[in-house]
Amino acid sequence: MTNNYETVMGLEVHVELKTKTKIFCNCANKFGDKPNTNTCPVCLGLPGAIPVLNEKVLDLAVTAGLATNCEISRIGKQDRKNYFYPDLAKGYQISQDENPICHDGYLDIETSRGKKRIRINRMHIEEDAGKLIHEEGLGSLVDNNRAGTPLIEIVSEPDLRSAEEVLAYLQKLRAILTYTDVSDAKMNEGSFRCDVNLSVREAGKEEFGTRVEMKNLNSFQSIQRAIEYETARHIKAVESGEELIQETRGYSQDTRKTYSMRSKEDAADYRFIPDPDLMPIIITDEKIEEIKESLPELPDARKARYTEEYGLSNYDAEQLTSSIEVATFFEETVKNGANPKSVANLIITEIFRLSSPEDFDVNISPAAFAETIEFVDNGRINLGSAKKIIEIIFENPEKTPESIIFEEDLEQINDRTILGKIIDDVILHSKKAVDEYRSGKEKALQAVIGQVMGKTKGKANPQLTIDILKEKLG
Amino acid sequence: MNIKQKYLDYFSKIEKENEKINAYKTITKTEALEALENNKNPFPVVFADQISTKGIRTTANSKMLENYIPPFDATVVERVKQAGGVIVGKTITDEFGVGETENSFGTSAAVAHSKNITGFSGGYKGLIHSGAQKNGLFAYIPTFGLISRYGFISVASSLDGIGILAKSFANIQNAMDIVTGKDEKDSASHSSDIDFLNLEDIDLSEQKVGNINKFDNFADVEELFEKLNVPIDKVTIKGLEYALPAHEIISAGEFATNMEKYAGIGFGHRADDYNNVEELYKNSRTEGFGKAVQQKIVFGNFVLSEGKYEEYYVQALKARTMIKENLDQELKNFEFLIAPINLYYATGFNLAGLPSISIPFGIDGLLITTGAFNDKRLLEFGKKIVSQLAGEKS
Repeated sequence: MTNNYETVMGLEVHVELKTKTKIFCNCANKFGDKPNTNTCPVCLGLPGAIPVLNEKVLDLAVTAGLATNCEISRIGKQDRKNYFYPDLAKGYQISQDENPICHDGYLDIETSRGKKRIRINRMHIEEDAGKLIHEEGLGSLVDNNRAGTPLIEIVSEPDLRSAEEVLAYLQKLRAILTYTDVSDAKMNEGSFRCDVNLSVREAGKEEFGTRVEMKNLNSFQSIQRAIEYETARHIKAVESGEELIQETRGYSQDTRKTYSMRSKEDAADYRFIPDPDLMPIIITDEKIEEIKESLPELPDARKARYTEEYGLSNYDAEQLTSSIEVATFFEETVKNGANPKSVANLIITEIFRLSSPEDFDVNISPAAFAETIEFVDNGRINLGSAKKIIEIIFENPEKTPESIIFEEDLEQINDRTILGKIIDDVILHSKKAVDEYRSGKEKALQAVIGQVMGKTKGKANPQLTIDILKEKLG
Repeated sequence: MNIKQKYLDYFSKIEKENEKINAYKTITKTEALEALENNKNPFPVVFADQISTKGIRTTANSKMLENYIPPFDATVVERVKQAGGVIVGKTITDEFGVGETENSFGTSAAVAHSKNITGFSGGYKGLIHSGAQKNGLFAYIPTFGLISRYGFISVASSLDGIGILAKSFANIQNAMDIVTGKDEKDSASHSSDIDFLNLEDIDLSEQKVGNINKFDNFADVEELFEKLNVPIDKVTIKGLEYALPAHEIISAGEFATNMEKYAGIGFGHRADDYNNVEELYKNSRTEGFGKAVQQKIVFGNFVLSEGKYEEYYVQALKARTMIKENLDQELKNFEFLIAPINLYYATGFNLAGLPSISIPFGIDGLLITTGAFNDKRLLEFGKKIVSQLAGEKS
C-alpha cells in the first residue's frame, strides 16, 4: 500500500549565524541571557533608529553558500516583510525577497539506498524576531534578546522522498555549517530549525499532491515522527477521497500528532518592499575568492579521506564526519595511536549511545579512549569491558582505564588452561544447550558462551572461548 | 547683557507668543538653561518634533507618540549639542510629516520669530522650502546622505534627508560644518571633506544656469537674473510631471511600512480597550493616528499589496529613476537649475536626492538645485545672489 505512494518533501532550514553582534546593531548575539538585556534602539525598533548591516553576516552567508555549492549573487538587496506580531518590534522582518545572497546549490547525501543529490533552491539572510513568554497572571511578555539575531534561511528543492533522506540532508547540512563555523547549529537551542513542506502523490504521477508546511519541529525525532504521521494522514485522505487543504501544521511532542495552525486563506500578504534604510549589498569577486580559500576541509572531502586513508566503509565515514566535534574526536583518538577501524566502531556503537552526534559532548579524552581501544586490540580486555570503562569514565572523568581495570577486575582471561577448566564446568551444567548444539542448532552455542561470560564476570576472551568450545563440543 | 539673560528674555517672549505663531510643540527652557552652563560657544537651535532628542519628549506631532521620550539623541542632535548648540524647543510639524497639524511650518515660524535660531527639519517633499518662502528664510536640503538620518522619525526613509532653516547663510554654513560627515549608524550617510565655513566669492556672469520653470509666474526672478547679469537658458526636464504622483506612491509605500512599528506593544499609544491582540493593534492605531496618516497608510499598503505592487510601486520607482537620470543629464549642461518654489519641482529634487536651496524672493521664491555633492558650489551661488540682492536694495 505505502509503496503505491510517494512522499515529496522540501525543507526550509533557519540557521542562526555565529556572529559576536546582531545583524543590524552592536548588541551581543548571545543565547540564554536575562530577558531584554541585549537590546538597543535599533533592535527594539524605536522611532528613528535605523539598521546598518553587520558585514560579518555576509561573510558567513557566502561561506555557507560556497560550502553547499551555491552560486553567489554579486548584487543583493534586503526587503521588509510586513506583518504584525508582538515579538516583531518594527512590525516587519528584514529579509530578502528577490535576489537571495546564494542560489542554485546542492548537497550529496548517503542513505541505506545509496548516494543522492539534493538541490538547494536559495539561501538568504534575515533577522530573527524576539520571543514571547507566557506568564501566568502577567500575560504575554516579550523578550527582545533574540530580536535581530542573524539568520540564513536555506530552502531546498522538493527532492526529498523519505524521513531517512530528510534526516541525512539535515545531518549533512549541520555538518557543513559546524565545519565552517557558520553556526553552532544546535536544534535544542533553536539555532538550527527546520520546516518541512510535504505532499503525497500516487507513485509515477507527475503533479504534486496538496502541500502542507509543518512547523515547530525541534528535534530529529520530531521531524521523523511528524513526516511519518503526516504521510499516513495524506495517504488515508487520498484513499478515502477526503479533500486535503493547503495549510500550515504544527507538531505536538505530547500527542505525536500534527495539528492545523492556519490555512492558506488566512495567509498574510507580506507587502514586501526593498528596505529604504539599507544600501544595496555588493559582493566582489575578490571577497568570494578570499572566502573560498579560507574554507576548511568539508565533510565530503573528509569522508573520502577516511575511506581512503583508514579503509572505513562509506557508512561509517559518513557517521564520523557528521559533525566537526565527532570528526575531531575520531582523529585525535587515532593520533594517540589507536587502530582507526576499532576507533570508528567504538564511536558508532558506544560513544553515540552516550552522546548523540547532533549534540556531541563526550567526557572522555581522546588519549584515554585510545588507550582503552588498544587494550582491546592487544587482548588485555574484551569489548564488553571497554564499554564498561567508557561508561565509568563518562561518570568519573578523573579515572584512567588502567585504574578501572584494576578496580573492576576487568583483566581478560586469555589463559587456555584456566578458561578450559571453566568451560568444562559449564558444559557439564548446560546439558540442554549442549545437546541442541550437537544436534545442529548453531544458535544454542550463544547460550553456552553466555554461561561462560557469566561465570567469568564477562572477562573471558570471547574468541578463545568460542575456539575452546568448538574443540570440546566438535 | 549676559547670554543667559538673552535666553530668558527669549523664553518669556516666546511663551507668550507661541499660541499665536504655533511654532513650538515643546519649549525646552530648563534644558536650554542647563546647556548654557560652561558652554563656550552657545548658539540657539530648534529641532522639528520629528527629530529624536534624548530625555526630551518627541511626538512627531502625533497622539501616537504623545508621551514618548527617546532614550537617545539623533545623530544631528548629538553633533549640534557637542558643538555648543542650545535646544530652545521642539517645533510643530505635520503629524509624522504627512498628517494634520496646527502648523505645517512650525520650524520656520520658530526661526522667523527669533534673531538667530537655526532650525532643523525633515526635507521630505522639499516642503521646508515653502515654509521658508512664507516666513522669509533660507532653506537648504543637502545632498541625500550628507546628513545622517539616524534618529529622524521616518516618513519615507529614502526621501528623509534633514534640511536646515536660517535667516543667514552663516548659520547654514555653521550647521553644515557641524552635522555633516559619515555616521556609522546610517549606512546611507557619506563622509564629507567639504569646507562649508569658507565659501569662495564667485562671478555670477560666468555660471551656467538652466531655468526649468514650466509655468508663467517666474517673471520676477527672470528679471532679477537679467539685472544681475546671470545668463539663463530655458530647459525642460522630461518626465518631471511624474514627480508628484511617483513621490506620492513611493512615499506612501515606505510610510506604511515605517508606521508598522506603532502597534501599542513596545512604545507609543496603547488602547485601553481590547479583547485580543488584533484589537489591541487596531484600537491603538485607530486612536493614535490622525485621519490623514491613516489614509496614507491605507494607500501605501494598497500600492504594496499583491498584484498592485508591479502596477503602482514598480512603475513609480521607474519614474523616479527616469526623473533622476533626466535631471543628472541636464546638470551636465548646466551647473545649476532654477525654478519657483513649488512642489512640482521640489518633489523631483527630493526623489533624485539632489541638494536644493531656496531664497525668499518675489511671489513664488527661488529654488536652486545642482548635482549630487556639489553642495558647496550651490551655497556659493546662492550666497552671491543674496548678497547682490542686498546690494540692490541698499
